Amino acid sequence: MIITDIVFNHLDEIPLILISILFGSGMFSIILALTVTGWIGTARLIRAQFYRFKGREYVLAARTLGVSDFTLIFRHVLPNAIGPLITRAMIAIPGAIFSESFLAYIGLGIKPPEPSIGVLLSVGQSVLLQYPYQTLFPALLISVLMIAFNLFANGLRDALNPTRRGEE
Amino acid sequence: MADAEYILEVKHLCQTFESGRGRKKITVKAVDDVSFSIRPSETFGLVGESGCGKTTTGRTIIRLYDPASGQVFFNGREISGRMTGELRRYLTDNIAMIFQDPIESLNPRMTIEEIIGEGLRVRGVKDKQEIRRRVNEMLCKVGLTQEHATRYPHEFSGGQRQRIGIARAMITQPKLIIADEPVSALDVSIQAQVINLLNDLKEEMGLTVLFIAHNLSVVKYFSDRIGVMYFGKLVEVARGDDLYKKPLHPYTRSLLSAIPEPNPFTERSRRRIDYDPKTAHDYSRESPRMVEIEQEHFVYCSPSEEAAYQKQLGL
Amino acid sequence: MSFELRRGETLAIVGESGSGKSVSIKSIMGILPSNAVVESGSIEYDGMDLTKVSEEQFHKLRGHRIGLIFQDPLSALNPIMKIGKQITEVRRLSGYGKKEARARALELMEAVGIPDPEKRFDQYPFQFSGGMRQRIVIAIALAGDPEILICDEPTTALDVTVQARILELINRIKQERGLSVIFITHDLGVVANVADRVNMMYAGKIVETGTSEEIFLEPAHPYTWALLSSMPDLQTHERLVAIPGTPPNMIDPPKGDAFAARNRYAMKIDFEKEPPIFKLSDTHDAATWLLHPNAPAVEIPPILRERIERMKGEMGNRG
Repeated sequence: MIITDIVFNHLDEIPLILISILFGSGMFSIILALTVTGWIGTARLIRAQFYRFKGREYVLAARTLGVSDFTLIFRHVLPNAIGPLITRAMIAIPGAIFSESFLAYIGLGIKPPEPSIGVLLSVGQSVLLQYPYQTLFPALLISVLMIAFNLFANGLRDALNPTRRGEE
Repeated sequence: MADAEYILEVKHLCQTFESGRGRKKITVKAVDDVSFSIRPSETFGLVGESGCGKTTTGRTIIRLYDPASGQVFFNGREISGRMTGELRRYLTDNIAMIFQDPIESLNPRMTIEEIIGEGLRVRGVKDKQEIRRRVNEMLCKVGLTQEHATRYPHEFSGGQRQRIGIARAMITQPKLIIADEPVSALDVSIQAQVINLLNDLKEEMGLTVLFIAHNLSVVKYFSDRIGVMYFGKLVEVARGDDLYKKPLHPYTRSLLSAIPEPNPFTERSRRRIDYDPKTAHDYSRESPRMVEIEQEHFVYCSPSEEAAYQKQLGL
Repeated sequence: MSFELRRGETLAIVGESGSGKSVSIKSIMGILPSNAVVESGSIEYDGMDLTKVSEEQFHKLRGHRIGLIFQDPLSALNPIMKIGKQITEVRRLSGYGKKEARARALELMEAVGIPDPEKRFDQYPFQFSGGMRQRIVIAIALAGDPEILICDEPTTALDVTVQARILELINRIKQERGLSVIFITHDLGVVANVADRVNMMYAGKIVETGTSEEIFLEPAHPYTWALLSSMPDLQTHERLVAIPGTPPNMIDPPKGDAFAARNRYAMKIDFEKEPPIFKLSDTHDAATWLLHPNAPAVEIPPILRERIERMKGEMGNRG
């Protein structure tokens, strides 16, 4: 299982690296690299979620009432399916930051003097022993960002769910 | 042309489901040549064990599934043909459905008012006051109060939720209600409440009901006529008392013999009848079909079985 | 709450969901969730107090002396383990050889009516139908040669014809092996089929206890009346007597008799003081103020009275 985890987690980075090499470094290639592969997982999740909810009895009930497809999608399926989607979208943000940092770190992404956490880390690493704080603070920042977005995602998901409203 | 005597007529309805792909593809006949008719204001019970196709039959009538073949007529009009906006509208105006699972069948993110009022909104009722008034009226009818309208489904008990499901189905004043196992997910003490409520509404609104359930005692209590299904086929149709007193098809007899009754004396001397379609029938030379063996009593049997059944009934 | 189970008898515990029937069984089995505390009282088995034994001893008891059958056979079985292995597991744990355990498992599969046990031994749960799965669960419960079999709604998830077969099987096994059975259910028809004695439970308390005949022919507690008259049988035509309201929330139990709010026979005292247990016969007890000498005489629901008359008639016919 550990091997599958490692392989799975690093598969994303291969097209990332390839695109960066192909289009050179810079903002455009970063955006392209992140979007080319980034949508696949989300699309699959949305499809899976819709499949899961479209067979629910309340969706069937709405269909027997003659509810239009538009209402079915946006009133009956989407609000119930959205929890994992929100979580995923929120996790994608720190994910993108992380990928960018990773590219910058290995020297393929944004180059100094343009600011980016990856750039800071990469520069900081070369002077790690002299000025450890130059690595420490970007590292801390990226960790805090990750946690913050995760918590935000959970909060948002619960806030949108009436059965959890008012709960701590 | 369809008979005017009947409100709903199902003729040779078949429904198949496919699973697998390519060479592994198998077609399962969920409903196999089912025919029955329901008169206005009558309750027709459809009973059978899990996987016998009773739910599929109900869902095919209301067109949650498209039938593989066969026809369904409502008030003489065919409702099994190609789906158009007009037909969808005709269907939803006349037929409504009550579902089994009181938790699953209500959208957890809509308030009770939104859930019950949805049928009205779909029909173009725009006035919020009007919707509110009719939702409140309906809530009272099913034994809930106006205060419940702004709450969400999770705040209710199973029995109350089922009342909400009934209100949702009834608000558009349909002529036919398809009730798919409406009480089987409820506690014993709550079941009677819901059965009584359905009975009251049926009387009050002059409804025709297709009642689908696996519990023969409940079906018998609730229905005027009963159809027994076994593996996609309708094997016997009769008035409730006829079915109970003189069951003919071996599967019906097996089913009746298996129902536990709250009576220790009959239970201790219970003789269960086994039904094995392979040994019970010999259809190698004669093929079976639906026969009206006495008035209002139909059995699926071969000619020789028919003769035997007639003898049994003393005809 | 207290009750006892005699050797070789079937005791049915009847109640709705949330009435505490499953909890009481789980405390017997020592598998209560960690937020539950046995507040007081004891559970004695062969003179041993089960609330005091160590986890290790309990482990031995479960499976060896007490067998358990759950409602949902699918979740009670390990989906990725061959059923033969699941049946032999208990035996293997108590130090039997592989061959011996296998022979024993085949014998059990035969006994619970699984056809072709040799072939079925190496199959997985998903290859079996619901009824067959429940038979496997029964075989597993029997593997440790228990003295007590606890069945927690074993047939609720099954079709009636399959249910009838499983009930027959449980009855037969009980006779053959001299087992004592605790049978938890809400279906009074099933109770009539299996039980020697019946405990009616409501809101965590036993409200009436008696032999099967006493409960069905001379019910004394209004809850028993209500439950008996709320379900139609095949001969019912009259309007059902529904029990109004819903079962009380056990986090905040009501004062007095828990059933009072839903009881059409409730008196003032029912809302104030919990009724004591009145003895009707050596085997028949009920906890209701209606049995108090000062209580007014009440009529039992007509629908139920008719049913009892009919039952007595049938009994007379049989001699």
